[in-house]
Amino acid sequence: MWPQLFLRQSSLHHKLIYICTNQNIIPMKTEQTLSPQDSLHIINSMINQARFNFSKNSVFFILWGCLLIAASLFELYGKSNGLFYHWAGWPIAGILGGIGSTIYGNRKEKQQGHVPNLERLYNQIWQVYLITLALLIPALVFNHVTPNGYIMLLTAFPTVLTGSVLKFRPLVWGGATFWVCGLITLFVLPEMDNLLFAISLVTGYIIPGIMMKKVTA
Amino acid sequence: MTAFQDLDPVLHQRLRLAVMSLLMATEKAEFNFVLEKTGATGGNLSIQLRKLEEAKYITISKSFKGNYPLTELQKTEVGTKAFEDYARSLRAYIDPQ
Repeated sequence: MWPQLFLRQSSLHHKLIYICTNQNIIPMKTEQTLSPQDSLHIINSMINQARFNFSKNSVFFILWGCLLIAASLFELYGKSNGLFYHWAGWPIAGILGGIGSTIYGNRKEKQQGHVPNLERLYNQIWQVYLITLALLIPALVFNHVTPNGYIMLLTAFPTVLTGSVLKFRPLVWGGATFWVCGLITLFVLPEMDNLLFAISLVTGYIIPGIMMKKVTA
Repeated sequence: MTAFQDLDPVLHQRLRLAVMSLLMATEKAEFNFVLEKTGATGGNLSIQLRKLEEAKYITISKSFKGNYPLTELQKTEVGTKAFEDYARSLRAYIDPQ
């Protein structure tokens, strides 16, 4: 009796293979029973699982937002109190942000196990921005021009573009505030550049970053 | 079965379709990631990956990550085209108009 039962169970075991997903379990029936709806369901659930992860990238916006706000407010404090090294916050923020981003990025890559299609585009956008920034800042300083207004205008570009690519409106609108604050700095209130930069970082990086984290959660 | 004669037989299998769908959304994916997401057994996944590789739908590269062996999968242009054709045929079955 038991050998037949064992064989029947073993046969069932081989016929019923399951694809487990985070949201649901797709029973793996025999190939003949794969309907167009089944196929569509498999395609959708798998593509959803490999999609670009919003929440993991929100960390970069929050990290850089906090560091650059601190640098901007330190410069404001330094200028109003006559500190010679009022600009020192910027390179410190850059180094800390670079180290933090590299450590987090590497850890994320190890855990993730895949590279989503959008990730390469996302990385390229921000790499091009960083290269442009690295060329622009020394050029402006060399020509005795305060760079903050121009940095804000430039920062709007990758932020708005990232928001558009991810179809995440808070980042698009947040990025647009860099344009607004940049224009105000350059044409209306140049003496308020640090404060405007800090405000644009709150609206452009911190708020969208927190919202991004919540949306995914 | 007659209704599915036009569908690509390489893709019209649950595990192979699941693997190709994952790869369509990624630049590249590690074997363990695909294993986890599909919930398949290692042996079965390896067999299906070989079939996809034989059809030139994917490439499998082996390297080391630290001290551990790393197997990475990538879709090819042939695979991308086949998947797009499969999805198009599928749409035609679901909505013939």
